[in-house]
Amino acid sequence: MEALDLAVISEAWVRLFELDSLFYLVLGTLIGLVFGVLPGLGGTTALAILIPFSMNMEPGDAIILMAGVMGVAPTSGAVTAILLNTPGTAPNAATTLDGYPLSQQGKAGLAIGAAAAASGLGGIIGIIFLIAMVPITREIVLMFAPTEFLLLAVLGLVTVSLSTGKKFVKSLIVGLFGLIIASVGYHEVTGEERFTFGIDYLWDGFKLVPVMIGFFAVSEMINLWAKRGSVAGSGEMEAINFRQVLQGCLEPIKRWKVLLRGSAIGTGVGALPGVGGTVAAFMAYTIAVTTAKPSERDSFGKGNIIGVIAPESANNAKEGGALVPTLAFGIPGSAEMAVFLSVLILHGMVPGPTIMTESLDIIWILIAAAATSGVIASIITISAASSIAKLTFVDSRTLVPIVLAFAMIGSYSLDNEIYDVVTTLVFGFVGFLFMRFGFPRIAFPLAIVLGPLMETSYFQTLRIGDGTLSILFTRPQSIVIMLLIVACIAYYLKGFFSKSDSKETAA
Amino acid sequence: MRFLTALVALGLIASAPAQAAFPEKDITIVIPYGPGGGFDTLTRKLSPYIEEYFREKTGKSYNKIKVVPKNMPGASGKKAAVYTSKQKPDGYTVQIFNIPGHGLPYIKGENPGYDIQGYSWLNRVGGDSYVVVVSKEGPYKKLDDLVNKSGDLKIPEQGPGSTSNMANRITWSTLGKGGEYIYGYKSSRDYTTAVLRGDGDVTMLASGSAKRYNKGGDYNILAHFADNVDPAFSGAVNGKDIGHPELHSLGLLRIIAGPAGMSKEIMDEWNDALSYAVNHPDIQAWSAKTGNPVKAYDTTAETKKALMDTLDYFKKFRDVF
Repeated sequence: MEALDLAVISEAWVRLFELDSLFYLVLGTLIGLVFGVLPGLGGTTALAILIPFSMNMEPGDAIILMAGVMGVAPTSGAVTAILLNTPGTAPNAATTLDGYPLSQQGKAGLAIGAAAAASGLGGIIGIIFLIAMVPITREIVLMFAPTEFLLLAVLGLVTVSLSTGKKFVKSLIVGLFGLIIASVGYHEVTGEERFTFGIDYLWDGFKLVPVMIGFFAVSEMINLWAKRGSVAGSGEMEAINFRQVLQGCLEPIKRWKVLLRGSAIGTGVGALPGVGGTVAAFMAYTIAVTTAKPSERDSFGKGNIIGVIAPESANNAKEGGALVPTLAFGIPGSAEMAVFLSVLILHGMVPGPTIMTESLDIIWILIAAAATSGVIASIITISAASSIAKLTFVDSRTLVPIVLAFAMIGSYSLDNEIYDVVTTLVFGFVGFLFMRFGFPRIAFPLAIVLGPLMETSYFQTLRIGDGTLSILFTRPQSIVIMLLIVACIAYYLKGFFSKSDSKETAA
Repeated sequence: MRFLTALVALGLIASAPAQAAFPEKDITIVIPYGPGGGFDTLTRKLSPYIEEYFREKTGKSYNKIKVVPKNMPGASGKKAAVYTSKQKPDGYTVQIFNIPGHGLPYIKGENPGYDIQGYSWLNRVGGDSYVVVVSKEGPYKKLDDLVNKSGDLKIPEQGPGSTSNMANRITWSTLGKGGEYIYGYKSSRDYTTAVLRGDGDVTMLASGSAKRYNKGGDYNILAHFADNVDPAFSGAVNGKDIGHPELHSLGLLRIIAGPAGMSKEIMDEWNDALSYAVNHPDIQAWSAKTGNPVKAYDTTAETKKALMDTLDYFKKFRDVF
């Protein structure tokens, strides 16, 4: 059976629009939205909870329910990134760069509209790119070895540092702090414990979710409490209406090149397990900055809508890319995908190269359902955006206790572990200190996500290359990534020196 | 005397329903890893059939009783093992164990906070033997090619202390070959793909995983350490063929156990429930289709013996870990 069998593809879409399938799809999407906006709970938790129910379902329905959950998580994560400067998932971190300043200006509706539309459209474009990649999924996966993962991790850290512009050095310091935090715990390569101080809780290192909730949500709430007032210090609440949201929805279409580029980056980078969405979002952001009109460049970081469209389109398009390693070898591209694969196994399917021949119909149902759930999630988000956006006008004395309560409950509910709450509080305070002293916190999530990948890939590259890194210069794909890193740094330096020159000329 | 006999009889009657009443409430099966892995999948697949046994086969109406799988990842399974060891030995909290993985501290003479021998071992639910895997496109066509390679073998792996790492270290030290381990791959699927990509020369897998991953015919299986080589691995040698039949003891087990001190009655009940689930035609059909080997023993004594045989075999090689 050919992977791109049109009859199977059309059957999948017909099946998806049957009444019971639509019911499961909408149900999955709603569950995904609820779990996505609650701190601590994400797509993986929702999928794990649904496993027992899915076992008694017909495989197609189970897949549709699960795909509904998977397709929606990145969209809901953008809402908190924009409103509260708190990325729902690590890949949403890039959205805070311009999304939150827009909220502070009373344009949260515009930002949410743009993010939701970019997410929905990015998801669809990602699926189209995936379809184009289906015949070569195997080659793509075999092309990227630890050598390339090492360089991609470096590229991710370079792009995030550069995305903070003038605060480059401070951003590097935050990144370094993230790398130190990421190094805590049992080291899977050397088999040694690092910085655990004999505390069992630290054996697996700091958990990403409690750390992120603390570093972003709690610190933001401490800051808001100290500042008083509301998130939208400026702006009129009356300005937030459905028209503003719709205006936001049209932005990705007006800026279709940004949308397409973001989606292409998302699908390409998303195909690499472990790197995926976070690097894709920051790469899309940085490339959007570098390719923007010179007159627009200075407005990035201050509420440029392109800074929302680029990362959000990449973030959702990566869902298509994440299917590449799954289809080629049954390797999960993300934590959600790992749980999803176990659902396939429970239903008697074997993820891997033969799934394209043995269960092709199921794969196309999955692809169709994931794309459609992204669109449904976008429509729901857009419909609710003008109401949700008014949260930015709620006084801190009301908003802060509510958000903090949700943050603590979310952190605790992850593993019913009180130490997770302590972690959240500690990182909340640390994040607040970084804010107070003007350090951009944005490099932190990327460093804790990419730190372990970079270190492990470094050790693996050394072993593969017989103790040296010379292998980096012998693989064409490595050389291409190295050139990208050099180009990013060169671009930054060019901008830096040209600004110095213009200052000197002016003086 | 008559009074005493009556008292004893009363006691027996009183205690009999208490024993037979198990279970009276929901049961938790602790999974020492996160959702999505092999242990998680197997436990979730078996749970409804264990429920069915307790509901129907005992002839009692336990309709409301649920068997609830509970993920407790952390410290390579240590967190869950410590948790289970501290629960009441009433049969309501049991755990799926990874053997020899959970036995590594025993093998190395370390104290992980639990005593692997102390648990109430109920029944095996899965077990497998190991195979040696290379890329079909690579230069190695038989086991001797690997042994005769100049220098150490490069072996992609999950990490030190993983069960496949222990299997690799025992195998290659037995065959007198050095190994350079490339650690850090996330799963067996991941490091097997690494062999295909050329990151390393060879790796070892459980035979069920090898069958699943090799459906596309990408790999050559050069050895299968079992008394009878599986027909799926045609051309593979076994330990006897190469003069090392002891390598057939190189197995892995998935065993369900509860805290120390469970009563014999509850342990036997559990043994039967697990045998019922494992031997259920649905589970056997699923096992054959997905390549997840499921097996059970007849008694708890057999289960404990298999555990100790495996651990003691690995213990002989403690110096190579």
